[in-house]
Amino acid sequence: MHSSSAAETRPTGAQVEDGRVRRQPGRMARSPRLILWLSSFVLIAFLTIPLAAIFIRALPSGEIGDALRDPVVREALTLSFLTTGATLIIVIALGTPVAWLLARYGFRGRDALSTLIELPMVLPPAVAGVALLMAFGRRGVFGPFLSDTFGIELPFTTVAVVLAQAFVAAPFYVKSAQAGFASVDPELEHVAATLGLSRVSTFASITVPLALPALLGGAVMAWARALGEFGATIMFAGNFIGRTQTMPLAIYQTMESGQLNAALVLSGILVIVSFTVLIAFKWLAGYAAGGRVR
Amino acid sequence: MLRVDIRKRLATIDLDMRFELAGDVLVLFGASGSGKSMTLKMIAGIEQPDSGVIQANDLLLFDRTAGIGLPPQTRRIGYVPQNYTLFPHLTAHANIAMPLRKGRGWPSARADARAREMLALVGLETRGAARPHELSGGQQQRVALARALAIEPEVLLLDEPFAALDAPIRAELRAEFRDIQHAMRIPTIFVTHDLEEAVAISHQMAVVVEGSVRQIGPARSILDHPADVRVAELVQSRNLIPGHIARTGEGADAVVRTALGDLPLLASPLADGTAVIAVIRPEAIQIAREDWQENDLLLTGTGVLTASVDHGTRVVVVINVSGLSLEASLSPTEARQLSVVPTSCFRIAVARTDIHVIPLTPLSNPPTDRTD
Repeated sequence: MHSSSAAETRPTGAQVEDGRVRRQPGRMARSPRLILWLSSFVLIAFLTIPLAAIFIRALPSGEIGDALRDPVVREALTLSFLTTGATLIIVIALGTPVAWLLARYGFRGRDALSTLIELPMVLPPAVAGVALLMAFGRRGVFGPFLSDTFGIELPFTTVAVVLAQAFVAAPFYVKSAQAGFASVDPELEHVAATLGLSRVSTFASITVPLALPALLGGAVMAWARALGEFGATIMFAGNFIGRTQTMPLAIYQTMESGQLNAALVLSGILVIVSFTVLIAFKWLAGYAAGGRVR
Repeated sequence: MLRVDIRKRLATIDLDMRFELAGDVLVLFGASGSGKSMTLKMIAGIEQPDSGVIQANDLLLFDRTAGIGLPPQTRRIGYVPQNYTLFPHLTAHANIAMPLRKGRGWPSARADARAREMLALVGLETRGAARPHELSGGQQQRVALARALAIEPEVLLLDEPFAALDAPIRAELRAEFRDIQHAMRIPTIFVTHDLEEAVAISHQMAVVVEGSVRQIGPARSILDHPADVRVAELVQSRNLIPGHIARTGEGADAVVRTALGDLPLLASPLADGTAVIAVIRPEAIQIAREDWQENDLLLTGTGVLTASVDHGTRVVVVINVSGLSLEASLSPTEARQLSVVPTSCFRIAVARTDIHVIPLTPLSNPPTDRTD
């Protein structure tokens, strides 16, 4: 692109070599590009080499099979997929009405509420952990009430893992779903109403299908964030194998105790999953942007 | 029969709409932001009036005092907004069939048959499988019309349905719509700000100014006899000439005394001295060369041509007569025969029947000074 447009804007000299104009950009056009590539190389390498290193070290060790049979690894895998699944269900069930409310209804303080909901996206996860402890912990605001009335102790349970994940992941879904709902022209819903469709039918047959790429994209991002959750989880749920030790926590623990292969396998799995999620998200985002407008 | 008598306070205007739709097509004509679209939304049940009554035949759709406000789903009103009204993720066929199934509870076979029938009605029987983005703008609006008609509505509401389309397609769809409306005899309210469209499509035209109907009647009678200066401006009367009523002698007909001279009137109940605006539509002004022979038309004077704009089907010329700029609309043939070029002098003539007088009583809105 760059070279051809550069060739077009400086036709003198280049046109002499007939037929090869586009393939022979002048020196002037190429050198800034070269400088850009060279100066970009450092960061590109820095971002890609460590990820590759995980696989470079993990593959030849020949102990991947053993690591996969390691109960610590298996427990962490199972727990991660169970808790993130539960988180996703909770986030979608509770987040969809919030996104709908923010997208469709004007009320005082809507922007403030929207910002408040986005706060966990930028909040350090350790702060989220402290916040959850102060809310539901033994000495928290609601902790004693839950404990005395229902006999429920949330901290350092699997439920606490789900709460920590939901706390940090929900904003990703709500924000995306809100944008998705807002992109659906309300006039379509009005027309659907005049045609006899109930509000529920309209939502199910018109709004959700049109907002689906954004809903799925948000769900994918929320799930990825939940899967990687570390700080809030270790603060609020602790690090107990089989109960609260998800994959990121297991990576930390295995590394600390010198079980490098287990850490490598878990890390490799997370890299592959993250990469797949990113591809899926990009595809959905592209579909959302290009699928309707034409 | 649809009776509308509603009020709603909006950010910019206070809506106060009263009109009746007896049958055929009522055009709500007015500038953007005058409350036409909001009125349609309130009839459809999408928006709620602050007070008043909306009644379709014997059914009260809305009555504030009685606490009645039917939801859009049960009103049976077909609604076609201006733009992007097709469900973009559904085919043309499904756009019509899906609401029949899910909204009316029809079995699939019946809904599909109806969808095919409606697509055929608008000449798109072969395009049922196409998605909206694969259809042209004109085809999309045809499907939107077919979808609204499929529910067998009591009333059809069209909000500038052809405004986004190219002129030739617009004319074609207009003619098609007239045929369909005539065949199905569905009472229709048609909103537009395009005067040509309003005149072409309406049986009755209601001129909407700042939230209320200023004048209602056949389009031709409104064009010939605008009720006030605002309506005259909206229907492009163009030549609004200030003056006052005078009677020249015993039992003589009244005249309007203007800067152009005395414009004789056929009859006028207005008292001498009443300040008025004389309205002459550009089409009513005839112009001729200075050596032209007088006939039964009224000659009002000689003027200098100051501008001429060719609009394709009409040539609009501006002639300065006694300090007043008058706009006249000629056919291209007339314009060629007269060789209208600036600074040439012409006589202008207007038939007595083409002069309409609007009294400037203190009660009506006083017009702003205009001498053009």
